[in-house]
Amino acid sequence: MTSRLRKGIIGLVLFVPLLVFLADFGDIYFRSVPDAPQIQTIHATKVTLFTIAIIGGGTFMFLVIYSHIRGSSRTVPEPIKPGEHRTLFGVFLSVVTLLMVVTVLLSAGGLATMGRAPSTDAATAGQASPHLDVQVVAHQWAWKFNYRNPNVGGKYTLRVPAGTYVHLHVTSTDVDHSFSSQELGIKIDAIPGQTNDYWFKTPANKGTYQINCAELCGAGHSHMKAQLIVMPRKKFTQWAKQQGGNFTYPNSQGGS
Amino acid sequence: MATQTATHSHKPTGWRRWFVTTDHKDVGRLYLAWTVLFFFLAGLLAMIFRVSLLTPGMPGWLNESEYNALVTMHGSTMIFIVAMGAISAFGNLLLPKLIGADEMAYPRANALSFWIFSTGTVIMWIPMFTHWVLGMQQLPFAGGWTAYAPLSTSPDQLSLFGTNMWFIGVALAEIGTTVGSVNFLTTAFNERVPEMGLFDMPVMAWSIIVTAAVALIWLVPLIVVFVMGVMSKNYGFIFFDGTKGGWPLLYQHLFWAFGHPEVYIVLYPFLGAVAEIVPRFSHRPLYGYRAYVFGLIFIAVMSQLVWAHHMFTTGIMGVRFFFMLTTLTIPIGFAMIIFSVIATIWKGRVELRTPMLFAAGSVLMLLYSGMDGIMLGTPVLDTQYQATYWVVSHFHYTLFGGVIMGFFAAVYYWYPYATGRMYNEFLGKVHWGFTLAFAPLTFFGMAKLGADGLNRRYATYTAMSAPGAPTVQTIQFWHTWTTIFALLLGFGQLFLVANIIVTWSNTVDDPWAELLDEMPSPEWTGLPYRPPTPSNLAARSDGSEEVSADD
Repeated sequence: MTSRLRKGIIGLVLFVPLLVFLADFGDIYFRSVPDAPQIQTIHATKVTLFTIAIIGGGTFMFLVIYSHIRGSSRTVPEPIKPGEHRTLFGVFLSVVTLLMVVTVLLSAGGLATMGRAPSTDAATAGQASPHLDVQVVAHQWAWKFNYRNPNVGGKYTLRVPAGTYVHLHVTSTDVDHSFSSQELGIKIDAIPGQTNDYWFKTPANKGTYQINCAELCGAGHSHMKAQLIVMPRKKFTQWAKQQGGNFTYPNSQGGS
Repeated sequence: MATQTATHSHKPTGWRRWFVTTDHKDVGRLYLAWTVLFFFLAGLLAMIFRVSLLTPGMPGWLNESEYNALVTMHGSTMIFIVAMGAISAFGNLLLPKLIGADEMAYPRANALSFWIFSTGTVIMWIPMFTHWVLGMQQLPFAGGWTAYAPLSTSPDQLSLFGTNMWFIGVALAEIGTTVGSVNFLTTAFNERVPEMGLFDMPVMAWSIIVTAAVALIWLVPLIVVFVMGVMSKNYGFIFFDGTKGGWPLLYQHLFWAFGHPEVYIVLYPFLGAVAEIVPRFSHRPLYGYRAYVFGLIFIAVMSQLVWAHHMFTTGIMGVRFFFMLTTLTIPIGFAMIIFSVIATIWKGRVELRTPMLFAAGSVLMLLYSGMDGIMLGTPVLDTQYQATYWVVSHFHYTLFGGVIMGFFAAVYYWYPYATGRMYNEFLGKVHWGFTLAFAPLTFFGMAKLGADGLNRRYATYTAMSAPGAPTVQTIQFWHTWTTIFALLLGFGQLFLVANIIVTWSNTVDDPWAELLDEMPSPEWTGLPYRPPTPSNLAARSDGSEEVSADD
């Protein structure tokens, strides 16, 4: 094997992590998400942060690769003078620090709203809009949904009306589980002896989503699934009535 | 101490030497051999369960509990035995020589640390043997390497035998590492030659000190929480049983108080190795010795304040902001190190030898996993990625990419020092090529699975039901992708074994002659020593001895 060929192969291999990184992070631009505020917030934050990461991380990965390939054909190294590039180093550290501050600021908004009760303004905008109140009880290996509002008892499928706030009270009767819907950007652990409150707003359109368990809970972990069915508001009102409960919207919000 | 040089005269020879040795290099060699052995065993487990993921259901030869046991043993062996053994291996091999001492401060404690460590490993692995070789019913521990309570500690969950052996085995192994850490710190501060100031030490010595200090503090909660686990499992203590008034999150807090510093504990020595390798193989002084060391110390301090970022989804809503802040300071420490590495190589004459190539791989993978880490550090995105394959991809970039590739860089660079033999350069490069080409592709498959929403530790998989969600064929495709590249990656590791066998009698006296002539290093060339900083090297070429450690 000639040294040129050998160097060529080494150069190609060095580029693999960079190309994989770009493919991994660039994936974000080709994804679409449901019309629900929580996942929209996550997606918007992701697009911004991934773009910063692709530019910053990609540049530095490239510099590492370039410096190796370029340096391998040099016969005399250039010396470093003591104290060289101090300004550049300082600028670089400041930029990294600044980017971290930007990351914190970008996340702070999502952090203040995600999973939390809607501010009273949002909840009462226009007219008081009802919210669902559901206790989620995890056990090996199933999910049970005890509806408090509307008061329709325990179900194994989570039916929710479109575009409505849902208040979950998540707990477990045996080991740790985690209530997760990847598509809606929801993840909250179910921990025995503890009830986790979690709020989210359902998507504007009907659809069926999957609920998975995201915390290892024994042999049936991967089978611990349930469905989250988003129904049109009118249909949900009818369903609640059929089940002996009551859940109505003010007329202006598409209720009956 | 310097007066004890003649005490090794009655050193036993032959196989007995390895059982009674208190020589730091021999203990280091034992650790190194043990680490490499379990690297292959734990890697083999990964190959087995990856093959079972080729089909959406379980194959006939493995059930869900056994799958969980294999995943648990793969992860826990890699973390608690391989990564922790690797730091002890290089700490023992190098530390005394790096600081001009003859021996560790406590040679007997040093031997003890290895024998406790290896006993712990064996105990941890006994259920593997009894289940799969002897065919006994009781499974090895199957609660994941994090062993979350109450799944791991409740008497009516998981196998009693497997769980006890795992908790006791890992706790013993880490007691061994704790003993070693005491020894490293004492040696570094008490046995260092007086003329070597703290900022005259090789960066490798610094990295071992930082590792030992953090390990000494944070292995304690781990050992404590595992003992509490054994008490709960066997004697009805309810520490973590939420249904009886215990507190499951107490387990997670104690575990991650150890678990996050741990990630850096296993990384520092190989960041230190990178700082030794990169200047020599690029013929340029280390840019920013102090920046590099401060970077290490900064990460060491901050890493102790970030643990709850593993718990963003446990309902700790109010404190998420604090742990996001602390987590996002970590990249600043890494920025110092990465800048220093690139500035060193920049415009150097780079020799693409195996240690240098592995060091480059380690730095590239760390940059990649750092980008992942920033995303996981903000709770907004963590909600999406927590407990998915994306996290699995992330920590494989860190632990395989950063730590193990850094470990390989150190193994090849110090192979002549540890064994007196020279490795084969071509086989070394082939090993590197397989590793750096296929590791990212393997972990890329995991990243895709995670971005599609597949949760980790799933023995089986089905289609996701949601508009536009991946079909079972999509998931199977990426699982197959990951498995194929994992097998290629595993195959590539055999070139390390081949290299050891082929060069068994390839003895060498002066392996890195030219490089060490330019930049001496105390473990090869003895004292006096000055770190290869720009001012020290400039002074050396002038023939002047009056230099300051300042860069």
